Amino acid sequence: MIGRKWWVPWLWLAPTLLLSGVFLLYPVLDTVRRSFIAEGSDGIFSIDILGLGLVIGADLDNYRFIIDNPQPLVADTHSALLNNLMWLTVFTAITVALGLVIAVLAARVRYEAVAKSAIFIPMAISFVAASVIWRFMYEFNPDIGTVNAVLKEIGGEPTRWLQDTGAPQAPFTDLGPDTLPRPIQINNFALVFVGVWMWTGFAMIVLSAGLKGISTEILEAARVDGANEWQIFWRIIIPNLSPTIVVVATTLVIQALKKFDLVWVMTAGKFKTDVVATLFYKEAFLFNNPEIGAALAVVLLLWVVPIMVISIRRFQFQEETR
Amino acid sequence: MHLSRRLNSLVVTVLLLAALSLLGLASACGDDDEGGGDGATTAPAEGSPADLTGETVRALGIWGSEEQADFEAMIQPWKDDTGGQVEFTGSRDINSLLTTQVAGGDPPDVALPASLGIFKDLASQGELTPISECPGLEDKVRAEYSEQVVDLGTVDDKLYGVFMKAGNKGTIWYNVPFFEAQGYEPLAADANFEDLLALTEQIAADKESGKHNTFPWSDAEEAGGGSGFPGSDWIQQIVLGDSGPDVYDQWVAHEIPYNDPQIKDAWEKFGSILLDERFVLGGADQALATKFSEGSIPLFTDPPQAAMHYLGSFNSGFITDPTLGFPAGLEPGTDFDFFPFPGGGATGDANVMMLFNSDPATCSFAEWMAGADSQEIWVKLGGFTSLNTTVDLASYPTDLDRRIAAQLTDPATVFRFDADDAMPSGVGGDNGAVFTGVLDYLSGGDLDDILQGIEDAFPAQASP
Amino acid sequence: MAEPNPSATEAAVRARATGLQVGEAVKRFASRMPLHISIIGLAVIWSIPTIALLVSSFRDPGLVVTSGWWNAIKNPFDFTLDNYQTVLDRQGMARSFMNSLIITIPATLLTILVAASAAYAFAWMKFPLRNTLFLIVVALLVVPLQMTLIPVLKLYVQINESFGFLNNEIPLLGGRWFGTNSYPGIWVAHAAYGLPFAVYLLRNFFGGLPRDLFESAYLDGASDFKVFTRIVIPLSMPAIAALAIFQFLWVWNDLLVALIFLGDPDRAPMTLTITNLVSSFGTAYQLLTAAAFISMALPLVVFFALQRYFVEGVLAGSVKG
Repeated sequence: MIGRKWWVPWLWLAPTLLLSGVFLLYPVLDTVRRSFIAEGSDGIFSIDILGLGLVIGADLDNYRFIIDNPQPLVADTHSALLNNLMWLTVFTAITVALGLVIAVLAARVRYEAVAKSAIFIPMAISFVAASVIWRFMYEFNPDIGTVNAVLKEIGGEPTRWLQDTGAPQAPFTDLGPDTLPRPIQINNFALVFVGVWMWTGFAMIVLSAGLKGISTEILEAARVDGANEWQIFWRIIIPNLSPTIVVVATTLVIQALKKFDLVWVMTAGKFKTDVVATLFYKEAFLFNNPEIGAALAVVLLLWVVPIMVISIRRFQFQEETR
Repeated sequence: MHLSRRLNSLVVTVLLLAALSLLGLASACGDDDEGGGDGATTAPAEGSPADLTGETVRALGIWGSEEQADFEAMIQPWKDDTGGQVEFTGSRDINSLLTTQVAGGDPPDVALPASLGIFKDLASQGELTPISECPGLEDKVRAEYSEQVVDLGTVDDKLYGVFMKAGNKGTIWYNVPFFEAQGYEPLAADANFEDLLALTEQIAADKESGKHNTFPWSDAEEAGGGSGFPGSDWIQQIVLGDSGPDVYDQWVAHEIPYNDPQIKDAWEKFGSILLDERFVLGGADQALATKFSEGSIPLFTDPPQAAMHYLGSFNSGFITDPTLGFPAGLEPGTDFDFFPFPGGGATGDANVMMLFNSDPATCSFAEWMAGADSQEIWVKLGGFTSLNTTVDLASYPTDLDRRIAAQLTDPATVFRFDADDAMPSGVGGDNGAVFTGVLDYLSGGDLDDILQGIEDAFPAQASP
Repeated sequence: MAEPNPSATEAAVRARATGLQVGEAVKRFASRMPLHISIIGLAVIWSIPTIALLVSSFRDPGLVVTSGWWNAIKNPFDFTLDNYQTVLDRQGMARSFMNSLIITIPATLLTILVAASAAYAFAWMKFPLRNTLFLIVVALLVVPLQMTLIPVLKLYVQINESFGFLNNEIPLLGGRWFGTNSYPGIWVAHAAYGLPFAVYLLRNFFGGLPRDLFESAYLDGASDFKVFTRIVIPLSMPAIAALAIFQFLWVWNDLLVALIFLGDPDRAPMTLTITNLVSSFGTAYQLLTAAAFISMALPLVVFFALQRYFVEGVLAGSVKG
């Protein structure tokens, strides 16, 4: 805008910067600081701000713990990292794909609102309730557990979905090996599926809103020109929707990295389903090792940097083409 | 412009909601939902109670549902007498909640967690207030509790914790009519593990020969973050019974390594029953998948699918609760009963009450909680076993409860606190190495690896 | 030979046209069958767990544990309202519903307000470090909640100690003015936690608005405030509605933040009261099934109220840059 004073943008930004600075950025910096202090040591020196004595150190002990994985029974760091990798690929891909498909399809039918509501409802359910539902879904006893009951009907063997670490296709067919290298395990997939169930509604809603923003004129013109739905989908919808897809995918990847509630409530990280967030929680709050927890958290934060870089690049691209 | 009309209706909706909530708020302000449970049945007798009107005690515990109601009944006389208020927050995530609040500078006045690990951590970090800072409290505790229990609450030579609401873990539950019909004898107090194994063999042999169709054991290990604790209870009872209290103490204090041959022996004995498909209903797989509160259900099907189930004394509360899947009307003594775990020892756990300051309200509250008068209130309501030696045994509602309490306080029984609760967090307790180890062992893991893994979990967990 | 009857011909023509139309409609419906099947199929599969929960909430608690929920449909009318009764009769449930409202609505509004302002600045204003700051704010999305609790709690405790006047009770509302055990404290916390996602979402939508709209508005001398309220917000209703739904849901279903910052049980939201339905052993969890639906009722109302903003196209006909 012409004549906008230099301080105006900062005025608009101030509340956001203040809030995220205090509630989010400061804890992050504090955690990074913590991660460089070995347990029980007094660090190198101490800064005193506002009455909070902040110890600064430069030990790499905590990071070595993560790399060496000396306590695989209690805190399997390698397993946790691999599991996170699985989450951020499998969970994101499936959720985005499903959300997109549903958003596009539902827009074509008159009962769009009803269909979308059905997919969305899992998001409205709190984790506490969801854990109760899925507990019954995955129950081992086929008299009680829905999934095993269905499996039994079609001739499969009841499986301990949340505890079995075998290969994912094992309950369904005899083909393939019994176990695959971790993290490809039945119980991981079972958990991811619950995540997909909960988050597809989110992807669907955001993508739907983006879909509405595509000018109907363009769509009509394409149809008149004889393009079939498939072509319209790939040549018009996807390109126009790509900024939104990036937003959704980015959010989901970050969700996958942060995934805590779901895993914690369903398995508490047992049977090798631990993710970095649950491990962080255990170390920091249950085992009285906040420094190791801090190091884990820093690893998590590092993973998100490349993702953010990619998505910001897209924004810049969008801006240039505006 | 139709767009701004939509904006308007959104604004209207929001304002309506806001107005509604304010209205509801005004009406809810008049809502008095303070207190619950019985009216006071006993007035606190000791001394002249202080006047604490307007003072509030913040308490953090694990209790929910009926437990919370029972707790409210227990503290009602204190509130009536002193005029003080109690803000109780119950959460099963008490360990992380407490850790956060303490680290954040916002601790409660009183906390009642169920694991020793966090108690010891906080005490050695200096976050707790010693009991001695409340006038008269330490003397009272020393007078009314056994030396063993007082020692447990002592860290660095100072008394920090008072134990209440104990659980007896030396109880094996069995189906009485089944035992009588088949001629089996519940084990006597001086039996040992071999006797238990013999009984197991006998029942299994009879099953195979067709005399009946009942497995000797039912086992259930699933408990969320605490999965594997029943197995850990098995093992510590075996250690206590077979190797004796001295070895037990050394084991808990980590004076002997976790993979010491005696400990390994205890694990193997545990495995000799739990890993034998003939002995356990559904095998180890079923044990891993069944929730611990439902472990006794197979004992009461018709005909019973299993004869015995080992779980702590709180199991009697489950068995008599039809909403958990048990048939209604099961009577203690006639339908179900327990016999002591062989070996002459009983392990138990308890909630430990600890203080974060010595304000008058806090001290008065603590004194009430530690005394027999308050504990008898909950005892009468069932589900509470007290460690206070002055509690009248007659106040226990059933003979069963009395025997459970007696087993804990009987000088002939060797009583020890639950081993993994006493080990450092990370080794013992929820999500710790021991429980995970149990689960691994039952899933077919290698015992030496597991024991080494648990042993490895020790050093890094040592508190600073 | 009689003259062809004009009305008969007309009728014949009309009948043929109608026949064509009907045929067309049937053909169109048939070709859309796969569409209908896939959507309805997906919706049904998605709803199975929820339906299972719903059915379980009406069953006798003893049955829930021993037999699958589909059995209840076989013997219908074994249904009971006991679970709902117990939950609703639960002491303090009405109060905690109120508390949940008091916590959630202002928190949601605050988040939208703060995030929209920042998103507008990021999207349409030029200033140094714009991209870096945006990167940082959005990167904070990855911060796990638990990591922030201790530092923020320390801060709140410090504030309460340094500014004693904040410890007084707010009249009518209850709780302190700020810090621990205060509603404003928790509003601000929730708003902060929701900002990264909110800013990210809104910035994307604001940025997609046609440049021409803005240019003509600025040329006409409109101030930033006017542009914001008259152009940006109305045109972004789908995104704002989506954000409102999500933020409302997250705050409504939150347990942890309330536990840490709002210690007083009188201020507890529904999530806390509901967890206390379960004993420390985890028994009585069948009450959670009924509680889940009771607690879900309001968020669903919010969803239905706001979701119509998606159904209408917004930029129909406007020039897309």
